[in-house]
Amino acid sequence: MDLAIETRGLEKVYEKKIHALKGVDLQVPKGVVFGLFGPNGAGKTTLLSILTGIILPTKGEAYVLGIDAIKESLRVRERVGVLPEGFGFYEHLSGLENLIYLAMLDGLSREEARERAEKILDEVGLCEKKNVKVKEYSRGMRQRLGVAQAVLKDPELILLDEPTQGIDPQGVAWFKNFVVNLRQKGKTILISTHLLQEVGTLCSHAAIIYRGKILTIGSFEEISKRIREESNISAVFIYPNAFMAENAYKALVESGFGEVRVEAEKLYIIGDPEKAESMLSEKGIGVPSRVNFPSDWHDIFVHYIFFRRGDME
Amino acid sequence: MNRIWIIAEREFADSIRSKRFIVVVGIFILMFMLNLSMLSFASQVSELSLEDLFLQTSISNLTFIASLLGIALGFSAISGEREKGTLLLILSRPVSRDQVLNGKTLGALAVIALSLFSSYFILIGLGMAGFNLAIDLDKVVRGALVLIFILLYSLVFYLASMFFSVISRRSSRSMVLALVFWIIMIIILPLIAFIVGTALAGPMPIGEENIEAQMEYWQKVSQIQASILSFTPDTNLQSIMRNLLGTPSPYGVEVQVSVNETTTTTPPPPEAKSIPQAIIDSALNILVLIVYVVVFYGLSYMFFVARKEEK
Repeated sequence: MDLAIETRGLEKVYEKKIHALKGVDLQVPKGVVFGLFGPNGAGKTTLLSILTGIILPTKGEAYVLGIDAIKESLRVRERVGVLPEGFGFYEHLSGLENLIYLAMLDGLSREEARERAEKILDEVGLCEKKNVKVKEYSRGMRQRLGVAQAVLKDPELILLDEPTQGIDPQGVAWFKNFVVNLRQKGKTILISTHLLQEVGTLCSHAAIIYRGKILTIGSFEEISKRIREESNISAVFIYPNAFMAENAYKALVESGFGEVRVEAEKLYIIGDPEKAESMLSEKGIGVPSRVNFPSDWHDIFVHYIFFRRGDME
Repeated sequence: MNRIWIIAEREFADSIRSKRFIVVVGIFILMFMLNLSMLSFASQVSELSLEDLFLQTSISNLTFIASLLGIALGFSAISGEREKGTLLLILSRPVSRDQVLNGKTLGALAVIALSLFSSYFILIGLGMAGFNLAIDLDKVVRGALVLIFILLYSLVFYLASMFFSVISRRSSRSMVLALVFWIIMIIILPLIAFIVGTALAGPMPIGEENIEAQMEYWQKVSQIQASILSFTPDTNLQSIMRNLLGTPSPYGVEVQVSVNETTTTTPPPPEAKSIPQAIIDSALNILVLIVYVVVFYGLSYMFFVARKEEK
């Protein structure tokens, strides 16, 4: 398999003895949208910072597009676009001026940088606001500008750290379309996030990271197969909201149905789903949607982070 | 275009437009106007001509401003970019950390140089045209040469501040550290040196019959003071200025004693040396300033380039 990213035994211990990464082995195939999913503090940003050479690991190896990311980080950054978490722009400059500056740092001449910046601003829908100072941009516009700077040099690999954090549903929809377009152009995209429901559907492959360890990695099909072999969850009942799911959960517990778990708007059924459905029906509660487990990346995340957390620690 | 130049250009443009730059320029104008109003009085009590006094006042004001400007431009050089989140965007590009440091230093240096030289020539023009001062060309050239060393001196303060901005997560912290450094170098150390000097020199002889003993006493105090301060950037710059401009030593005091009071006056100014001789005589002082530059740059480099960015 042709890999865009490969790490072996990556460890990072910060000076305050925080063990952020504990032997991370990551393989990201070329040409996919890859999700790096994990809760806050799992080590996602640390991992991305090492891949781009912003920080050094304590131990281990990291290769990006076949280049040693630890020894030759500049070469990596020539070919990789990054949207770092907590990024900011020069507030007193316009969106266009910010992008021209960054494009020049990417190695373009002033004329090329302007041309490229204008093209990208058009692609991200900020063309009309290109001469407006960034301090007047909304959060969503800043995020679009952030994505724009990440694709400025038309990189082969794009690393996006929490790209949808704090943006509205319209912004998320725009972001998804943008990533789909990038994918169609053959780019490899790594999205690091804890907001799975927003961007999970974009990813064909993923890794779940928790407390500095990769809990699982692979394509959705591969991981689903693995989970089905080890999990006793037989089905997932999906409700329109968490309140209805909670009601159904309580009804099943009161009826003495074996084991059931609730997580947001989903009921995870352990045991016979037909029996659970009929018990709910007796209490006048329907099942709007029933799917096999795991049905999406969120189920996989829930399985590893909430259900199997005890096994992992 | 070289990435160092791109960063330097950005730094220059941002610094020139920054509020803190405008504040420092404001302080300079205020100081100069204050000194100007006292100039005619000073010329009556000083051995120096009005022209020399004007030139020296202008240069000493520029020295003070250069150190302040170094602090003002340096304290947020890295921490400011870190706080804004722009450092992350710069470092996610094929830009090495030493290019960031070099670009920032170059940009700030250009701002300080432009400020110093333009202010100097504006002041000379103002003195000659506005106040009919006959400042001779040799002195103007010597003054301009001194500015090069003032630039080196301001670089010491800039790089010290930049180092504080490298090690601080917040600009407010690096600003405090930089100001503490400035206050120690410019105010506290000379005070301590004076106190130590008078303490070590013992009790001062009193009375009209002890004039020579008193002169020896003050010379001793001056010597101790000068040795304590010999390593400070300010003392070394003063020494270079003395060699180039022929200004009197701040420690070379002369004591005049009357029955009721003791006063000190400065001796007549020494003759200025030839420019090459002055530079040769200042070699050690120049070296001290360079050592400061190298040490502070080296420290910034060590901490920043070693990718010691921590959570």
